[in-house]
Amino acid sequence: MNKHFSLAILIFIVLIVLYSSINYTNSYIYLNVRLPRLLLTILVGMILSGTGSVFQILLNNPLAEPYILGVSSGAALGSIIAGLVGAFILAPLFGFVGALISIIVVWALSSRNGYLDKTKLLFSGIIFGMFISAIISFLMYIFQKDVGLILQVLMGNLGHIFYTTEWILFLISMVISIILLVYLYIQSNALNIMTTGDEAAQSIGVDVKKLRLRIFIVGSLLTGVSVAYAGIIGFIGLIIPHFVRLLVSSDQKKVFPLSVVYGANFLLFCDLIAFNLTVVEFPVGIITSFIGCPIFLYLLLIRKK
Amino acid sequence: MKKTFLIIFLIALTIVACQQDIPKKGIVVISPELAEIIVNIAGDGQIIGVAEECDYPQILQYKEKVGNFGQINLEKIVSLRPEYVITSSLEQEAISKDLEKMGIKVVTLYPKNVNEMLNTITELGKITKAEKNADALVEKLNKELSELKEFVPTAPKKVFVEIYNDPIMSVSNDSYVGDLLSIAGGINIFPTLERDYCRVKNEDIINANPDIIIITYPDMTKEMIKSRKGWEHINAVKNNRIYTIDEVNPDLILRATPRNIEGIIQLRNAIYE
Repeated sequence: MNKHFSLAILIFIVLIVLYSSINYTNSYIYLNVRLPRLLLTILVGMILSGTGSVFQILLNNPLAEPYILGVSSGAALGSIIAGLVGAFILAPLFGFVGALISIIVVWALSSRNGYLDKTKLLFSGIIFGMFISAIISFLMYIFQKDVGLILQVLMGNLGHIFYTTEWILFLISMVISIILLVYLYIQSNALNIMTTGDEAAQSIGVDVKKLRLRIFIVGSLLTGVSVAYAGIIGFIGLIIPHFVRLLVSSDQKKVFPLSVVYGANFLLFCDLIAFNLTVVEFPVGIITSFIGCPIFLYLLLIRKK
Repeated sequence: MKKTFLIIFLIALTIVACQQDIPKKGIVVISPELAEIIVNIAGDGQIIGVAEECDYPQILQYKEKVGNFGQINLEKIVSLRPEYVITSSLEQEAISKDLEKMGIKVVTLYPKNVNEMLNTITELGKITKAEKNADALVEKLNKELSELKEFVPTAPKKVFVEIYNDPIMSVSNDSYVGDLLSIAGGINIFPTLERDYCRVKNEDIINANPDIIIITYPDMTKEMIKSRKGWEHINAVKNNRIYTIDEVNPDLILRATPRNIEGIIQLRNAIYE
């Protein structure tokens, strides 16, 4: 564990140095433009990968991630609406409300007496996500002038330009997000126990009902923040936790922190490519999928052996 | 048996009757700029259909609508039986192909700079049989343009044109706006870009330190530009030289029309006060 964690941190530091030094112009631009982007990238990578790993355990399903549960789409719709009505600064709030509404709907569709039907949850999440996507496509059709804005929410964009007030708001959301991530880490033990099944966990004294609800709300909050500032960035929540589980055992106490760091690493790497190596800046969501899909398939193949 | 023949005969007759050619007449224009030019040189008489976006001159608003710029209603156009459909830009390529398949004459004109706009006027003059008016207009515009081009700024100003905010986008010198900007005497901070209308990096804008910022889309205020993080040291922000659609009417610089003369004057007034 220690060995893996040190390596992850080492890569993290190298990437930060690269990210900061490539095309460095002057300290003013670094502090006002590059550093915000760096922080945003790290935060989004940590959030997506961390919540992904928690959702996978919570639902006992390796495919679970915020996107599949319709949460990302809800958040995307929220921040798109914020953009369309011109309330740019309130985008995170709208994003969070969108995420919360979708998780409430999906939850209501799939729970009975507080207990969750996991299959139903995945189904309702996917269907609800599709429904939201249809609404977004519809908005795209109507508001043709704002297709650029909608596309960048859908494809992911880390080049968010902050307004001064918005920047303070972002720093606050960042601190809250980190606290929430720490909360998720603290729940690792309980989550480990939950992998043995709800009844077993309940008998040991884990309040499964409450814990699940709390973690879902925390996950939606985090997703809402990430989508509001960076749009939907696919694949990180899915592949990074699985990649980490190949490195270490499936103990959530190890998987979670490593996922968080590797999530940030992966997104930093992808954004370096999106920002520097291409002539026209690409939406980072395209790059994560481009790199993520082959790596994930490769991992699946070697795992079979 | 007799009955069947009779029915077939009647159906055939109906089809033949329906096919009787009503002569195709008139023009459908699905580009606001081209519609404006046509009204300028030939009046609105020949125009039988327009896209939603064709809003100038006002008379066009009362014309039959055939959908909007990106989503044209094909059936509607066919039902109007136009002689020509006039389209613009690559975005409309698909619709042009569909129309051609249905035997409708499609003319695509996409002026990318002021000179091409002048050629477009001549071209549209031929189509609408208003060559005389077209030539007169071109001559007048040429004169006005050469007068405008005589202006040489004593201290050239660097200009950043922002056409969209999220993602932030600007224009190159090869774009229509870029051409107008250089006639107006402004120095574009992004003379060459990968595409004419292209995403640009926040860092590059701050680095280029433009003297003037021109915003060409609605809902963006000077205060919002000023409060962008890292923009407070840009000359345009420091000296309050940000111009929104209240000062520079985007229709006058984004659309290729005779009104560009006014657009250039508005740009120049903004840049050199």
